[in-house]
Amino acid sequence: MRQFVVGLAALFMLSATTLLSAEISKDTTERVQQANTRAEKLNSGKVAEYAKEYLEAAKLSIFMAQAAGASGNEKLALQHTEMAQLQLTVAEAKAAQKEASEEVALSRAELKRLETQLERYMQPEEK
Amino acid sequence: MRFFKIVACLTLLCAPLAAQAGEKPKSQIQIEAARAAIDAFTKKSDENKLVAGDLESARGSLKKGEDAFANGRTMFGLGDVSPEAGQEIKFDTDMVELYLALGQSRIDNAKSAEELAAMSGQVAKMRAKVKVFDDRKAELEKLRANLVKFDATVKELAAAKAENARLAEKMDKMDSERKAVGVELEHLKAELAKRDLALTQAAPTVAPAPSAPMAPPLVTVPDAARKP
Repeated sequence: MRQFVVGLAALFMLSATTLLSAEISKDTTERVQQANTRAEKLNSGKVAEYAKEYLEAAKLSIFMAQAAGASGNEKLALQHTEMAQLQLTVAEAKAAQKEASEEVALSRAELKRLETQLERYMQPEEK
Repeated sequence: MRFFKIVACLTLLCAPLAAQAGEKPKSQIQIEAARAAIDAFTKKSDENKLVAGDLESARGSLKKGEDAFANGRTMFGLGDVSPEAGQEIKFDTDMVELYLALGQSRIDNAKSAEELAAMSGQVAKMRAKVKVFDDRKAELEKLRANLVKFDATVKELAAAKAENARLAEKMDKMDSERKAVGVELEHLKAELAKRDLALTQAAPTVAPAPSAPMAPPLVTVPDAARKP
């Protein structure tokens, strides 16, 4: 629901752009583009699997930044881009953390298996 | 009566202002929540160098939010801040939240890495222990297989020995039979020699045997031989 409302707002902003035909600086446009490229790259990796929530939030922020940029609100575009970059960084960190947690879990299982095997070896052999 | 009317009017006029003064503006609540989160995280992270940068950034964002709050207050300091300031504060407090989430993630990741390193060491040790047993088990299996082969070989050897003994016995028996036959042969030879001798002595003038077997030989039988 929230996303729908945000989308509508962004659409409104976009349509307002054509009326206002305001422009933002090239630097801001490039920043938005960089964030978008980074998000796309992360979307095809493990981050999309492990930190989907943050990645989706970043995508929404980028969308909002694009909408703000289109409406000529440079400050808002920069804010959303900055937030998107941070959300992507958090997404990467969360993904790395979840991956590490999985590895720990696998190692723990392996250790348990080896302990069981060792215990079996230590027990007297049945005849 | 007039006095009471004036008091009632003043009360009605002041009540909304008093109510607003008692309530905290939304932006202030957001800032206070962000500040409390930073304080809690600072205490929790215990000056961890890993998150020092994140904490600094969070504090920077909080400062920006506080400044926006201070500059964006409406007249008399009552009610919430202007919409622009509210948006700025919302952005700053959201950034604080994200920086803290990033810091927390870094701490958790470091913990996981540490745990993983310790776990890897334990796994390596355990694998080495298990390998010793695995090797011994494999060796034992090999020895068992060899033992089975050895048993089979022993059985084969016993069978061969038995066969050998049987054959040796048979050979002895045949040897003794051959010896007996040899003795018998010698005996017979001696007997034959005796007979030959006797025959030779008994018929010294016997004519040589005729070449044609069909014609009966003309033998001169002595009278003594014809009449016993």
